[in-house]
Amino acid sequence: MIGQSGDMDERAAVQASQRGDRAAFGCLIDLYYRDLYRFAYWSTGSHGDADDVCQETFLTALGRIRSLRQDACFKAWLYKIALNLVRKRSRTAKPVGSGQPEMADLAVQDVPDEDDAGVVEVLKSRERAVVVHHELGKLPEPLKMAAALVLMDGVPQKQAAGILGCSEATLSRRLEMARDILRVRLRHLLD
Amino acid sequence: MSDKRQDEIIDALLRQTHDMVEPADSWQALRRRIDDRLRPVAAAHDVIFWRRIALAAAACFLLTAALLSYLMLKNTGAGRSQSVLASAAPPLLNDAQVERLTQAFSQVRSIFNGQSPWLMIDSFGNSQLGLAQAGRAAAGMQSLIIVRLTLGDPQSDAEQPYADVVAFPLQRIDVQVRTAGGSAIEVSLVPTPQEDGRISLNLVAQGDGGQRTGATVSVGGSAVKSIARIRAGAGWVHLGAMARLVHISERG
Repeated sequence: MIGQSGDMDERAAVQASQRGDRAAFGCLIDLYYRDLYRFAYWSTGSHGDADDVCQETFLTALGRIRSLRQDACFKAWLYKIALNLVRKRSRTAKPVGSGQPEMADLAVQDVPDEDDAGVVEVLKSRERAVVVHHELGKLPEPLKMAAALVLMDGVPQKQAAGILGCSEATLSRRLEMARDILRVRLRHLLD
Repeated sequence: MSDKRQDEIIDALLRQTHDMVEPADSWQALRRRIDDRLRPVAAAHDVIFWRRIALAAAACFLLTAALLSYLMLKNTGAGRSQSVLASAAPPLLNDAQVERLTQAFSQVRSIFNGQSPWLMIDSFGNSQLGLAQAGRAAAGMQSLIIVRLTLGDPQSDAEQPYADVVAFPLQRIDVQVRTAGGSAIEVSLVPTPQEDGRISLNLVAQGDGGQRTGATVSVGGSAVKSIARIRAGAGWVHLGAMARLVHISERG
């Protein structure tokens, strides 16, 4: 497997990757493939597409990593590549669903062996997740992407604005609107 | 409940939902798929890497061969014209020298096909080779320019060290030349042919610990023209230049 050389500082890994060190690039994959997959999932609304976009993004990043500036944030750069791929796919590929994330079968995933109270709590949290997932999927695309990046992934607003190609003020407005909608739609979970 | 409190709960719910998003099979399976996808590219990169190494090795070999043949011919020529050189302090670019430099450059150029190389050979037998910025020299690739930079006092009878730079017109060339005393002078120059047959040199030079000196001068191919006086170590050195435009088509 590419990249099993253990922990490596991100900047050092980027620089080593730019020199052609594949193990270092593997470290970068290890650092970000989960986040990237989730980002791709919220962008495409499908596990299959998210899988493809995730692979394609790392493939593109490997080919272009030498062009990454020293002071640039690797994660933001990676997400930009992913978003471009998503946009390209949405222009060229046949329409897949409505862009709304698939209702993951979260509620029926394996429940860990715990006592009754623990099992109930796990099931409740999954039920909540299904509802949040559903409501998030119904948000308009720009609001959903802003929420996915900032509220869910924890990307700083400045970087998120750069990834989405909008101003920070616009991003703030989108986040505020997303929160307003979710406050209403998730009212029953807030009590 | 305040909006702030509601937002905190919503944020927590969103993060929890985000963390529950997983591939249909498993993270390990996705990681393997990414590796499988990258493997052919990584292998292709290996091939490109070794090709570049081979190209660089070939370039070194040819450059060394070119330099050796140049030095051998130069020594032979020096024996023939020793009496002439003794009286003419600044070394001039004669046709034989131009021919040898052009041949050496053509070998270098054949290695870097499609790019814009430059070549420098100095009187100590050192050589430097580089590639200029792509595109700048593309318009003038039917001809090349040979610039001889001399280092020393033009009034002195002592033979001056010099460096012959071969490049396409309009290329920016950054070279390091050494005085007889061992001081290094960093020289950056852009040669441009003029309509009157002379060469305009846009030049910036800097000696050991000295200030940068810039000048744009017009030089010919028959005599060394003093360009700048540069601090080099404890003393000063005079930088001179002469240049010739050579049409490649004329030389095959």
